[in-house]
Parts: sequence; C-alpha cells; structure tokens
Amino acid sequence: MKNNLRVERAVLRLTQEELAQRIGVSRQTINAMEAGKYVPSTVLALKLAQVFGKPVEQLFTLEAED
Amino acid sequence: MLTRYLFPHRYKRLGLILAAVALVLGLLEMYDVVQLPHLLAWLPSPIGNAELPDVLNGEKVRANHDLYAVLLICGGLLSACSREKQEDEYIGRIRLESLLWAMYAYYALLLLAFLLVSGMPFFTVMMYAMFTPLLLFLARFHLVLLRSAQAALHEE
Repeated sequence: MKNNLRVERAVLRLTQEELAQRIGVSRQTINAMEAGKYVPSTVLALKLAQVFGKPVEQLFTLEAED
Repeated sequence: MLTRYLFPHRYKRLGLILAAVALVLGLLEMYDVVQLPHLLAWLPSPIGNAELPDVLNGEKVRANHDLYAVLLICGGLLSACSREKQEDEYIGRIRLESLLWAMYAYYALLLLAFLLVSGMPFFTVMMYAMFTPLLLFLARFHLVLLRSAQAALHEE
C-alpha cells in the first residue's frame, strides 16, 4: 500500500513528532508508515484522515500486490 | 492493539534491573567466581526435600540458583510484558513479531543442541534453555525498537 503522509504532513507543516502526538502514537509509527514499512489499522488511518481533513482514499492507495 | 495483558510501563525498568542482577549473579556463582551466603536456606522444599543440592551446617539447603531463577523469570517477564511509554499498534506488532522470532530462534538453537550435545553436558544446555526464549525475545524486541527510534530520529 502506498501513502502520501509525508506530503500531507509537509502541507500542514507538522513534524513527525507533532503528528504522532495528535493521533496518540509513537514517532516510530509515523516514520514506519511514511517509509512504507507499516500499514496502519483502520482506526489509525481514520485518525490520520481526520487530522489532514481528507478521505482515507486520498491518503492511502492500493498497489498491484495488495 | 489490545494491551490488556501488559503491565504498566513503570514495571519495565524494575524488571530489567531484577533480571540483569539475577543473570549476572547466577552466572558468577555458577562458574564459582563469587560465593554468596545461602540466601534461601530458610525455605524448605515441599517436594524432593532430600535432593536439595547445598549443605549448610550439615543440613541440606537450597542453592542460590533457585533464587536467581525466580528473579530472572519474574524480572524478565515484567520487562518483556510491560507497556512501552508510548504503546501503540506498531509497537504491538514489533512485540508480536519478536515473540515469533524468539520462538523460531529458540527451537533452532535447541535442535542444534540436540544434534551436537549429548550426555551430561546436555543438562547444561537444558539449564540455559529454561531462560533462552525470554532473553531472545527481550534482545530482539529492544533491538528493533532502538533501530526504529533511530530511523525516526534521522528522518526529522
């Protein structure tokens, strides 16, 4: 699964730490998601969507191997 | 991730200290580097009393290794099963993966020991084997946590 969290975070000028605090996760989690090493749960994806004010589909997109 | 089976974060450090002290003292005493007084001499063994390994004033008493084993298991479990400061689903996944990894690694080592060691030396293998899964888990879990924390640090 691909995501554009890094871009969206840059738009809001948030650091990984600030984003992590907003959705109540560790900074490692934000970093792992942005690096494509971790696919978040639906709950976490919806929290991210809330912060960025966008539907989940605009943040995460399926890839061929998904 | 549901964390209802985890202890509060504050127990982690306590567990690590207990486990480390027990491990170091246990190894030192096992290889006769230090000889501490019989700390558990007061505690009888309800089952198999006659088999107590150490002698104190002509009476058979528990060796200290029972105490070290109890401390190592309790401390190891406390530190392995305490929440991280910021426990979340990614940390939970690392924890589960490390558990699986530790099981594979443990049985791989044990298989190797079955093939390479026989007779009395195998008792030594069995003794280490009692604590290996816990120690492997702790080492792998914290190594991955550390690596991902460092990766996040470099990113900023």
